Amino acid sequence: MKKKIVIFLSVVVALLPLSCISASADSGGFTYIGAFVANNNVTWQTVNTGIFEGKTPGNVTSVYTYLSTVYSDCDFQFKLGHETIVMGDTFTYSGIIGVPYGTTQIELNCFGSYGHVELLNTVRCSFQGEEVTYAIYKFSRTINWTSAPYTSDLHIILRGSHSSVRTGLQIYNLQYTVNNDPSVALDVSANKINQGTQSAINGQTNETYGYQKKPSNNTDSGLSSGSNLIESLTDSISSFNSSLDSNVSNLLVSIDGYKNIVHSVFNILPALVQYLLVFGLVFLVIRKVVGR
Amino acid sequence: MKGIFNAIKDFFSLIIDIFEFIFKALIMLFNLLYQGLRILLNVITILPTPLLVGASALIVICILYKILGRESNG
Repeated sequence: MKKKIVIFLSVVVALLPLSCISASADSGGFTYIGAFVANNNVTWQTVNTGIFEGKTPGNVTSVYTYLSTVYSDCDFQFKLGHETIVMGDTFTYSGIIGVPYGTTQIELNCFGSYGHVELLNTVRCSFQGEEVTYAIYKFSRTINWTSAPYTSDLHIILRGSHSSVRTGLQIYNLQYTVNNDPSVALDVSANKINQGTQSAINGQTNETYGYQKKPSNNTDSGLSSGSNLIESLTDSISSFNSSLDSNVSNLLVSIDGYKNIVHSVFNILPALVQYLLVFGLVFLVIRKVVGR
Repeated sequence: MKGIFNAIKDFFSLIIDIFEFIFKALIMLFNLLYQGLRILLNVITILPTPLLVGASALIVICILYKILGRESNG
């Protein structure tokens, strides 16, 4: 019985975040986020060329994903268009954007001042064994088409002046209607406008998808710093050795200078006094030694 | 893998550096002793000849006294 209660409580606790997120997403149907969180695993769909194109009816869960290290501002552009749209049509769309960010907040800007973006939540997910924080934004916009061309841009700018932030862009649950008719098919394309200086873009086809893991400095820097310390100590010993040689040579030269002075002072004394002095010293020492 | 190889390389280079440091430290100690002896001999040589003779005789006598004393005790 206890086991069943524990299982029941575990399931309730596990489903709690899903219910919270679903409740906060008032347009409903954001099950993708729920799965996203519940699986605790990010499935990255990388578009090599950075372009997603398709013709799809009004509700897609298609994901445009880009994972990179952003070295400069990175602009993403979604274009939504309708072949038969006419002037005066009302065009609305909404969706969810997931932006993983590391230590630095990434600025997100959708639609300029025309659209509406709000931060829904931040979630923690595991990606390649590392915890990644995702900022989940909800966006929406309604356009009254008044002039050609009959396309609209969803413009997202990731401010990435920091060099070591792994980031990406994930858009899902993109919903759009023309004149409130969800069955109308639209042309959808996604493109990364600004190539910028993102060197990871070209290496995106490898299995890391441009992901650059932060180096673990604990062991490596410890060993290298220890090696540097030992090298500096060795260098200081070498310099001490060389300075010792030169200093001793200088000292010996200066000692030689005193040799003549000592000899001349001693030679001033008569020979008898010299011998008496030496004999006295020897006698005193021997007396001391023998007497002990 | 690269990180592991780097760590192994750093580890062995650290060990080599430690051995180098120990040998250089020993060489430094011997050098210090050698230079000290050089200074001592140089100081002794500046003394007058009678003093050197007396000191030498004193050393010989002391050694003999020590040896003879040890033999008499034995």
